[in-house]
Amino acid sequence: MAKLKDIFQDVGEEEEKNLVLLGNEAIARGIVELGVSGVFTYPGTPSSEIPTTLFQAKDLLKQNGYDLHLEWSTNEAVALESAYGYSFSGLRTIFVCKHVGLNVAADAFLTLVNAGVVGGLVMIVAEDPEMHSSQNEQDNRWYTKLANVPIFEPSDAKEAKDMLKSAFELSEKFETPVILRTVTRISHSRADVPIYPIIIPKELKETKITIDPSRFVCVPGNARKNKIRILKRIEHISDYIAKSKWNLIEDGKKGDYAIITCGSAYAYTREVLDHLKYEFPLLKIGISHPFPKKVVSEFIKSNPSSTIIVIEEADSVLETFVKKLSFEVKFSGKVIGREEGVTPTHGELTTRKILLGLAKVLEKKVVIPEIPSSEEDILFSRPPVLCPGCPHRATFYALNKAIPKRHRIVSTDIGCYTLGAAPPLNAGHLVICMGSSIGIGSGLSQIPNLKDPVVAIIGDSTFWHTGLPGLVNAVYNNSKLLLLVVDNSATAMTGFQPNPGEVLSIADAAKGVGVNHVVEVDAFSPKHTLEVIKDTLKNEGVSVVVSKGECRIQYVRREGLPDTTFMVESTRCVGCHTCINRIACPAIMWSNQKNEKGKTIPVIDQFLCARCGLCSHVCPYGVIVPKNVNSGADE
Amino acid sequence: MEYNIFLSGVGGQGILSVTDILCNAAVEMGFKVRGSETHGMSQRGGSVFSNVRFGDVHSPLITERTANILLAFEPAEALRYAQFVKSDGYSLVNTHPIPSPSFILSKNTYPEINAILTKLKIYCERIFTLDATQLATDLGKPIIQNIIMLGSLSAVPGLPITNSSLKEALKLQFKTQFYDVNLQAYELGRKRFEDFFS
Repeated sequence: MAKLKDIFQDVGEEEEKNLVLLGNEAIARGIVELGVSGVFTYPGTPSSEIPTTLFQAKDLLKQNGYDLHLEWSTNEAVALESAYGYSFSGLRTIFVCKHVGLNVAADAFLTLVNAGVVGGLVMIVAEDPEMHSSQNEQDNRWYTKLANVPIFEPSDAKEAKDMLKSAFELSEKFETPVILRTVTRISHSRADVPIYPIIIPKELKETKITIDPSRFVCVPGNARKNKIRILKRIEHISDYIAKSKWNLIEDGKKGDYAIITCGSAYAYTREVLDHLKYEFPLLKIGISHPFPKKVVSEFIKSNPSSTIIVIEEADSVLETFVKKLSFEVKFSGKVIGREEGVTPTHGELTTRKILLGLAKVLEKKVVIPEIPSSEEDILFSRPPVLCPGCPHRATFYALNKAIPKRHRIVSTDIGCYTLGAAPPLNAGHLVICMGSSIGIGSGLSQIPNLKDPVVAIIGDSTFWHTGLPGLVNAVYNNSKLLLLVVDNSATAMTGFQPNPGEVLSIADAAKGVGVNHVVEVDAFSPKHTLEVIKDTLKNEGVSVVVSKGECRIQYVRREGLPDTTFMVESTRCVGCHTCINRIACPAIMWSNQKNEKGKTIPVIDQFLCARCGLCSHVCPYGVIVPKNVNSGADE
Repeated sequence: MEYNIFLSGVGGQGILSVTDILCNAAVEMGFKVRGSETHGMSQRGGSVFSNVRFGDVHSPLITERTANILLAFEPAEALRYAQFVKSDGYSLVNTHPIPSPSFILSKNTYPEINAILTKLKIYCERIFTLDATQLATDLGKPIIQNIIMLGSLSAVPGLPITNSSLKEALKLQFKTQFYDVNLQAYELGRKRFEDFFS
């Protein structure tokens, strides 16, 4: 990733400077080139680096007179509502979330678009086809039809930055929020991006804002008027974008085939066509809603005897509208896309997938590079795991000792600790979405005559995000539930963004909403934690155990590694393998050594070990011992 | 002209730093650059990759069988992405294995390194190996195995990025106090590659 001083360097009007930036870094740069004043967000992969880059550069920007208001909101609904409120300043405002974050914000979103905005408001929504770091794969373009809101779809990092400018212009001209849609391979892809001067937002002095209640109080009478207004608005936007440079025809040789593609799919499509040396005419769509009827019908009419191939990521959104239009304009050729097998029904696109699709539908030979062998027999899987020294591992170890794995139901949540659902910790039977652990846990606990106790697991940031209403509900409905809050003082999975836990106490919040049994424990004292957990099983109603242990990565970055490490005393190890079987720390491995009974002895990899000492609590024979790395002597 | 470098390894091995250096050197030389990489959940000790492409390119991802170089920081992760390297390309492999907790738990053992390399030969004949992690540990900083690997890459015949641009990008990448040891690691990797094929 690029350095902050490079990303946010100032350049003169005439200077030509290209930087290789991640899509998210390019957008962050674009934000300050457009004089944006407020950014509101909840972090989520693949969107997180946009606000994080700006957050890290806040002081640097301030030194240069750029005072950015950047808010880590508690969740996406609050972030969008706050962004909306801020935009009444008339200053440019940004909302950033991952695709599922728009679901959290959907209630606010689907109504505030009707009332519209008075200042520029762009919503950057990052999707994750293939679900690299997500619980579902949803194509948010469907929302744009539902909401009557325009959407821009960049095809690379450079376009993402350029489109942001057009998105603000559209938002300000038509008083509507506008969506900029990225996907993982835009957010986390690199491109050489030209940079332009930074524009400082105008300073407001003694700000007085006026808000027209007949428009912004969305009671039925006003809402009906708003609805009619936005239906007209989307028509006007339709006319406006008909001339947009973002919907562009790339000429080719007219013939049997022509292509319509958009956003991220363009890059793969162009690459494949260039490789195959196919000169099909191509329409590249950058603003996909309102559906650019005019340019699409011009394009298909100018290729009357062609088969039109639609290539897009991830659902058949464009395809649906192109097919509908082809019927309306009595197009004589065919339109094919995902439904005809051009692209797979799920997952992200690659050039190979497009090659395979073209081979299926084109009536000519398509050369696809052959893969000579399959390595499944020799390769092992390498899924992501809890890091060495992770406090969650210690908490789940204590949970497993307190309540046997077979005799409990665990409803977990979204964060690093979701990884604890894997063996051997098995701390999770189900995960749906942010904050759902408590609601689902509460519902499970209400099942009549349920034999096993129900445990809900949630992280600190997720607790504040959407956990709190679930907790209030569980208290109010008298659910018998153990809520285990794994508080690592970090929003670690997305890259260590701050959360309200910096100033608020989860234990106090739980007490405040009426939980009688609230205990804080130290995650790295598993023996105490397990006694506390056992104790809660006697309680009626909701119990909350807050297991506090700082994310080890965050801790080590700040404090460095402690001087005391841990090692297996190989001469005394009985080879019971409890350490590996119970906690599966990535730093504990099999050595080449065997003891006299022929049992393999584990070894702690000193490069990977984060020196948390959990394994010394786990070893039943006390042969994992502390060692001072400086003295070389036992402590 | 199109040039593709496929980097693979395990989360935490410093793949993204090497990606930065390659991209910065390429853009300084005036190339159009595209690439993509793993962020987020998979970074937690999982298998990770990064693609660096420059020249006449559009897609952020490398197509199978078109990478000029496969730069693997771990042997199993070389084989996992072997389908991306060209048959007349180069595979550069750090032979230092990193086991996965998933098979430590299931009591499987790490595959034989030679078995991995034999399989890799099906995809690409020219394989360069070294234990970069051991060499880096000898230099006193196990983490700079990534810079040793970068040094080896710098010596690949036909690489359009020059040695001097790579060194300049390396210099700008880290704090100045680390430049000497990084340069030492780089030169060591470069020399190993030259000796290997001479």
